Amino acid sequence: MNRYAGLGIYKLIVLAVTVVILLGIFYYIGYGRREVRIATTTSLYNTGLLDFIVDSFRERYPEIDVKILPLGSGAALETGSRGDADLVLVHAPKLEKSYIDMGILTAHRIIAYNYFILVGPKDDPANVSNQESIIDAFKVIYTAGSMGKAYFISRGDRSGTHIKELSIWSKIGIKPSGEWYIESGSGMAQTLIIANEKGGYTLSDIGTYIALKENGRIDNLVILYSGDDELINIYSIYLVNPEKVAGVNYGDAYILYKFIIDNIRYFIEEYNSKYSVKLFYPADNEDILMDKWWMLAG
Amino acid sequence: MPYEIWDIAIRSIFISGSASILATTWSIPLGIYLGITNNNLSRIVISIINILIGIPTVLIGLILYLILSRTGPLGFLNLLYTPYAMIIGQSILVTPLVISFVYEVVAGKSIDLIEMLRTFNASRGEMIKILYEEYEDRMWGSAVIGFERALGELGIALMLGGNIRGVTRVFTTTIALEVQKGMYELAIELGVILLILDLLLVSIIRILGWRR
Amino acid sequence: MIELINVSFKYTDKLVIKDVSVKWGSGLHLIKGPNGSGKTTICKIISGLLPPDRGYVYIDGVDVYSGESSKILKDVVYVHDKPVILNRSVYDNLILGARLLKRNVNRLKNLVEFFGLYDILDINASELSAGYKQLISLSRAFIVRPRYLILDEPFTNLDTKFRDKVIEYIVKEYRENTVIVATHTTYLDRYADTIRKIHKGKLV
Repeated sequence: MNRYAGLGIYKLIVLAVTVVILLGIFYYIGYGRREVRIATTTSLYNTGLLDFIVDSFRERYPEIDVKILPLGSGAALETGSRGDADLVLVHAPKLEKSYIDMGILTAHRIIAYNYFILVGPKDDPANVSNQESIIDAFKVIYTAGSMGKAYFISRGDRSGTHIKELSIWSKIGIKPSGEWYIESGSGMAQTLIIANEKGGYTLSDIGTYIALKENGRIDNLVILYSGDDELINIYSIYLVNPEKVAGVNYGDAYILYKFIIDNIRYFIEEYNSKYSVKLFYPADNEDILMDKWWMLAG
Repeated sequence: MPYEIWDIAIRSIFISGSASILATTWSIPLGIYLGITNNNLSRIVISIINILIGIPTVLIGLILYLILSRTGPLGFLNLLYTPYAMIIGQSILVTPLVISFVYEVVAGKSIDLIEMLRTFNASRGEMIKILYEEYEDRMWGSAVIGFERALGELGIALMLGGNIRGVTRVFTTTIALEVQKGMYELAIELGVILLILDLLLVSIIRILGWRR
Repeated sequence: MIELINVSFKYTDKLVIKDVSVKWGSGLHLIKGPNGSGKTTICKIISGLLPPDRGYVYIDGVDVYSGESSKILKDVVYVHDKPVILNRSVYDNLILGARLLKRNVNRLKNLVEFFGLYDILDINASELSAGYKQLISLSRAFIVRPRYLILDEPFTNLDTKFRDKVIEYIVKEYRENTVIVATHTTYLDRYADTIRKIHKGKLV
């Protein structure tokens, strides 16, 4: 005559076992699938170009799963070196070089380029718009900043943009610090928004800037300097070297790699057609670009 | 909304739900056990567990990442950047929370009950079973708390899942992505949807509990 | 036989049991004293639930706080001064003790008749009054008929209508066993084999 009508601890165990079995089944089904992981930067990923490319790839090769890992350039390279990515697509030549030297990255190709832009507040307190080179522009920002008249917002996260910014500072021989130099430690969009709020200067990729500007999010910012050769932003693709790094899926990664290189011109054209500004240029003169890459890599 | 909202919602519930079910399965008996014994050793253990509740999720994510990485000891399992890694990580996150909650229920409120069971020579296992059944509502309450914690965490989902579209993208990682892109309004909208979903689920669970 | 040797116990700031030594053979023994004088403490110490700071407790020659204690503690049951009830039917609550000790429930029928509990067997015990709950707490122990029964203030929360029956039950059924009752009432005085007052030490 047991009138107890609760669940009892056994039902909890049964529930858990069911969950484990279900998970096990899903895991087992997914285990053998071919998978390529491509580590890239958030700014490149956020343009949507990669999703576009990969969707196209999946139609052609449905049996290969592709996982795009949007990280910063630094994190993407590190992920590759740990074997957790098979392809790396970044834009930070100096960092890339150290990984090439370690033998971790191979098959270096340049697939696209564009230019960084220097943006800042409309009133331009440091008088950047009258400068003739990006070096001069950074110099006046530094001067104005040290006098408390201007801010500079840095990504501070070892991203491609950050590395580029640092390389310019080091060309002037400055290690920037102080109240005027703000490290946001966050993505490009947030950095631009901070710059907008504080009326500060920042280095940005063109894609993120255009996207936010067209959404009316950064009304206080304008492009104050662009077009300098120094500001070139080169996107490179690599295969992770299976001889140096364990666990990479070199075979399938190569298929994706070749697919991207063979079709990149088409993808960029398609992609650019959606915007009023050319967000990417295909790597038509790869030799020249390679030379530039070597200069940037130091 | 440019998002596969249902896809993200179902995945979030599936991952965090599995994690909390698993976590409560081992945490509840452990919490009750610690409450029953309640000697010096148990009290030290509970203090440690209470501290562990506050571990930053990125830290758990990072440690597990190093273990599950292809160059790590468990790399061969191929768990990284899959929902399974996220489930493992979140179940670890939720465990100290549930243990502590259950311990409070048992050690705080059940001293007489425990003594009565002891005087009738109940074994530890029998005590755990009886205490569980006696406080069943609270036990499920702790599972719900664990579920809500798992649903709202970001660090583990990001580090172990990678926020991969269609595979490991969940509410929190999506919100973080939109914030990072500067799309604050969209992020808030998603956040509100998440909270509403939370509310619905918790209500359903409570109603099911009342049907006894 | 229950034997306490030099038992001392101290709560951090409060109650003190100082150096108590006593022997109890079979029969009904009372421990008397005002509230807060340590009756519950002594009862729990005897029952194997509360290890004393100093001293020993032997029941049938076995140290109740040693590794051997399980041999004898199977026959020792302590009943709290407040009712201890599970959120289940009266029936489940009554047979809980017997179920845990893996003994039969023969006495259940007699007890139910004796106390008139038949109508409430299916009711959830937590919905009953405190008076009924205490009866159930006691009956749970009665069903098991332990050789050593320790009752802590059994009458305080008990409905008056049950009082006489409980007294009758204790006196009748526990002839051959040992019952220790801590109380400040006088209901059992005339039946007791020994009465000790607690006041730091013990006196008759």
